[in-house]
Amino acid sequence: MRNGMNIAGVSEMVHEVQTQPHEAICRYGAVARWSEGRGIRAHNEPAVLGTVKSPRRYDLTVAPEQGPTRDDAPTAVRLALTALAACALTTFVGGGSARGVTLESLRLGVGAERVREGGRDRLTNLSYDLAVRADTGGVDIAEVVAGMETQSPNHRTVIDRQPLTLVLGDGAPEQAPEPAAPPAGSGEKVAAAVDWQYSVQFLATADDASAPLRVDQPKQLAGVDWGPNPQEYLLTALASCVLGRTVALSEAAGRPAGPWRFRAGGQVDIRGLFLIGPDPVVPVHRLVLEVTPPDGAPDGWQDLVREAVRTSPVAGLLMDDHLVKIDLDAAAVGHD
Amino acid sequence: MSEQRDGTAIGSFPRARADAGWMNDLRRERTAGPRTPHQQSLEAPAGNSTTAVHGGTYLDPTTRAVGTPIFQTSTFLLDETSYDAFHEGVTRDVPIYTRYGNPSQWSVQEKLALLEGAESALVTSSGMAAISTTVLALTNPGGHVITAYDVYGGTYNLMREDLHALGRDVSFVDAADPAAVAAAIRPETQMLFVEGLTNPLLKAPPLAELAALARQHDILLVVDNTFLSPACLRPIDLGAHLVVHSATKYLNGHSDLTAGVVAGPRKFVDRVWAQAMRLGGTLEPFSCFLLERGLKTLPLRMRAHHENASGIAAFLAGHPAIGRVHHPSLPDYPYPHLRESARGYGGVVSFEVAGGDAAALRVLQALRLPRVATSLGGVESLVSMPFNTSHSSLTQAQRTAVGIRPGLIRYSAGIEELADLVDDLDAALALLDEDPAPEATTDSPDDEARDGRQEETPCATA
Repeated sequence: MRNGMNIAGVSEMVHEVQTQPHEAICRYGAVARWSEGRGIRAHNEPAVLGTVKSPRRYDLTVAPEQGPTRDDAPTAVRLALTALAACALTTFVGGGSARGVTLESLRLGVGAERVREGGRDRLTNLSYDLAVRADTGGVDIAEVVAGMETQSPNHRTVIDRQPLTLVLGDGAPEQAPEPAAPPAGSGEKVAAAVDWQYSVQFLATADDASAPLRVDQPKQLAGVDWGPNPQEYLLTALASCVLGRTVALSEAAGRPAGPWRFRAGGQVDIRGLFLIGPDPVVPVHRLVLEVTPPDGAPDGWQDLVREAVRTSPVAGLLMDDHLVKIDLDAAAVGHD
Repeated sequence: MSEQRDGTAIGSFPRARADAGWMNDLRRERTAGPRTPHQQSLEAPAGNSTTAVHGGTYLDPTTRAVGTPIFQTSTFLLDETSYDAFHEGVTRDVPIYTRYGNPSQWSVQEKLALLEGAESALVTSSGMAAISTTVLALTNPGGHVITAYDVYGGTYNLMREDLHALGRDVSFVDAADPAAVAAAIRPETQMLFVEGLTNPLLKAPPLAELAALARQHDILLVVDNTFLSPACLRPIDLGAHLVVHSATKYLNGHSDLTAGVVAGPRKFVDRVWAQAMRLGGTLEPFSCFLLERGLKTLPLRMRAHHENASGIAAFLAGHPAIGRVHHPSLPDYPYPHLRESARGYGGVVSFEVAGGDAAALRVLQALRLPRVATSLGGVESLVSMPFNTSHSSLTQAQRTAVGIRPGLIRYSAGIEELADLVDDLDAALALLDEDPAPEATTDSPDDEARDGRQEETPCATA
């Protein structure tokens, strides 16, 4: 065991997906619902990890992006930043453990500028502050960081644009509209931080009043089911964000909001994380957003959803490409 | 002071990490086992009897004993191989501590894996330890399990009384009806748990069909193969992911041991092993020896059990004091597909005595050879009645719903002479014409009664 990870177990998984590629495909889903009074509630669907199913019984309240928060609920933007940071750290822990790095502490703060103007709402100027305290065993931590940048699925989803498919009610799948261009000027600073606990368990905190979030992998993927994994947080953020904006647009248009249901799905090929094959697919891909409108939804509700996608900061994070500035603060401990 | 062990030989190597640049450079892959180089390997596929005798046997290089020694120790000397095993996370493959693993376990596990056609096996302290550990290891909170409403009482109680508290939901269905199983599948369904042959009515779910259904929905099919044993049926060959057993029954075969087994791909059995380490249901070395010794005669015994049960079934089917007889060898057996996949049906035959429970109790009292006791699968014939043992807590209506009608006797045929068993039955049944019927009692003579179901309608969803 290194850093709480069963290296032999990870190694066996690496060999399994080399010989049985279908076992590398991990499918995730998240559902967000809105109802009058309760606001947005989201939960994760069972994950399918290769040919093994892993139910994921996590649900949470998501705070609206504007207006009063609901108790200590996180916003969708915070969930997205948590997903980004936690995936980067999961990749760092996996790669670093494989190379023999023994961690003492690991923290990644992720920051962005949130620029809002008119209906547009975008996240720009993304940055990581990565603090590593480790017995490196002679390994250059910068190389592990480089591996994190190239092999982290969520990170790659953000720096490389990913298409999003919309399924609106009974309609045929369609390409989601391009995200609106970011407004000029500076915006509000938003931030979240993720601290490594053990193995692939992390605790995420934010500057706002929202409660800490647990992050973990399914027990079928070296975790202990302590919390949703980074991809599940990302999909929860996407479904919740577009749902919240759709409700806001609906109310602004004087239309009844009703009980909307948004489902976000996506998949990861863990050969990308493991760096297997000549050109492994790393990002979260096959992103889909399926929308079930409330009964009696007024004509044109589909356009409201399209506009919500176009102006959603989380959808924009996934569908546009971004630069992420990384500051590394690495200090050796132990035998270095 | 001590000589270092050869870590490569006992399966701890290759190291996962050797100058890895990233995770793709990790070198360890799954192998069958765990095993030591001193265990008998069968180079070519061997017959069941050959595998039962020789498979996995530890050939001690010092004494050249022909049988596996009993490694009666709780712990092993630590050395670099041990420390490497901890470091790399391969403690299942290195002798460290008997709860983790012991060559006595590895020898019998390899024999069991070979017999079941599995990559790996794990022995546990009882059949219920194997079942509960497997279910917990391979499902998650929020998961859903489908099982049979007439599954063994201990399993039923685990499913009904414990799993919901552990965050798993359970549906009870007629496992012999694939349409009923399919209808119970949910997005979060993770496991289909069925018995290859049920207790006491010997229903045979269509395992190949259920396996296809399970794989279509990314569900694990786990088959309790206790009633048939690998000498008669290998569920993994039919597509099951894992097999579990109460090894207390046919696998050991002598009614002198309590043990369990789970067998399947190492990917899954390793996870069951890790769960077993935490829950603690380890099988201690002397019991491993007993189980390994019993297994050597499994195919021989199963042939005798099968012949005796089939002979008893044929005799009873024509007897005027007997109503329905449940046995796969009979022409009216409702699950004929079993005949295509099984090489025998084990030793259980269940039958209904005309005159109901009171008459059946009189038959039990009159039998001279079979002992009136719960359990089955030993060399001695045993006989019991579900209504006052395994199914005693069900109402009559509930027993009827699962097919247990008044007068049902479960006869576990041992390996005695068939003619003696039949003569004994014939004499006991003849007494029904002579004595007045005593009152039926529901007093339970054994512990298995406490495995009975609580007040709940069969087929209900818990």
